[in-house]
Amino acid sequence: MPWWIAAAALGAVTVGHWLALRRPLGVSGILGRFAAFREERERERGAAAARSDGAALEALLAATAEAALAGDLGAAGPAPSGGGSGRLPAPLPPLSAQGAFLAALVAGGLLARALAGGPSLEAGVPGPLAARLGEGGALLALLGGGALVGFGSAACGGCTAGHGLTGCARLSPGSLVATAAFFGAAIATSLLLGRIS
Amino acid sequence: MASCPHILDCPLFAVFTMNAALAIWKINYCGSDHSRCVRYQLTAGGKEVPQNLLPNGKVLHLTPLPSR
Amino acid sequence: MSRSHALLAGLGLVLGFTLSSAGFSDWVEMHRMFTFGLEEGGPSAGSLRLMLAFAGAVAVSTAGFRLLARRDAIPPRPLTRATVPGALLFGAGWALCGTCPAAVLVQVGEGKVAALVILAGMLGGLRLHRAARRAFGWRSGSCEGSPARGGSPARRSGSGGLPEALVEEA
Repeated sequence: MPWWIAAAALGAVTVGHWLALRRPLGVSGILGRFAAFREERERERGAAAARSDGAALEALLAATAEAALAGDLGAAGPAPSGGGSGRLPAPLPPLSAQGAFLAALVAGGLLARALAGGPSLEAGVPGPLAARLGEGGALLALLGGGALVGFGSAACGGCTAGHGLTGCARLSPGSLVATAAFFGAAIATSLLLGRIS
Repeated sequence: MASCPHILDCPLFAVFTMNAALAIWKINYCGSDHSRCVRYQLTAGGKEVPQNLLPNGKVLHLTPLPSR
Repeated sequence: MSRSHALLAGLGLVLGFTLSSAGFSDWVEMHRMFTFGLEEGGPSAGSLRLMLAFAGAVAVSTAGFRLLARRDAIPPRPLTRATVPGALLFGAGWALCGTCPAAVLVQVGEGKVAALVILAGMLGGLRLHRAARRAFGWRSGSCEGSPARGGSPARRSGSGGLPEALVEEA
């Protein structure tokens, strides 16, 4: 795929994700929820129970009326951005929908491989990695590298999609710094890796 | 004006979405001057936020929202 | 709810297909991008391809968001104390395993068995951070935190800065 088609497609998905779902595109957060699946499912069930709790809703509505009368809900000053709540982000999607997203990523890979006519199964580690670290070393690098990616993305609050694409496109200071840092570290690590022989 | 950065994970935001009558909280706090929100103030001060704390400082005692 | 399922599935499919087709799920291609092709004789169109695709994607997205920013309130991503250390760890790991969280799933679809090892590492790392955050009391910077404890005056007195008249039970 020529680079400029990939650029257009990735850009379209980034913006389209926001337009369609009112959520910024990001993968590490979703994967993180599935890494702690039981806990997240419990939380989701609890939230659903709270939402369907009539007494809780009544209390909230009562608190809303009270707040309105107290003037807490009228002091917004100039019109809020977007002229209403319609342009605000949406709440966290359900686990099942985010699971569909992850499954679709897998399907996308499957489709691309099928169309490219490559093998449907590919065992073994990347050649250059095995050449430098041996088979065992390469596996350790994959496992440890993956762990660093998981831990690091949770710590900095995003991955290449979340910070690199969405965050940078929004010119978010946190994302610009994070993207520069992770590209820098990746380049340095790769160059160092290249020195091993 | 930019919206509150915690919109994406604030459990109250999800609660406000469930009923149209509660949208007024989102409009007045999350979507505009969120510095008035006491949850935001506590977070900015590095303090813990009680689960049922409303943006105007009042607390609801029924059915605690699930914690992380 | 079925609408968000369908949308997320469609977006995921396009994203996955594009990442695969462009080469973001290929260890050798990624290594080439990070080393600017130096190990193969120097920068060339081949080594800059992925970098260009990424930069181009950011450019398209930036333009897209600028057009929408007037109407939409897209929350910015905060810069915290953990941003730089976390990103540095991410980058090092990214170079070692060659994939980011999105790409590893694409690799699973491509049939790369090694991707399962990487994925296991990622899930472990994600879980470890969650546990460490609790154990060390790191603040995630969001207000999703503590269980309901409202009601005790002792707690309230610690929330300095709140106008006391507002802090009362409903």
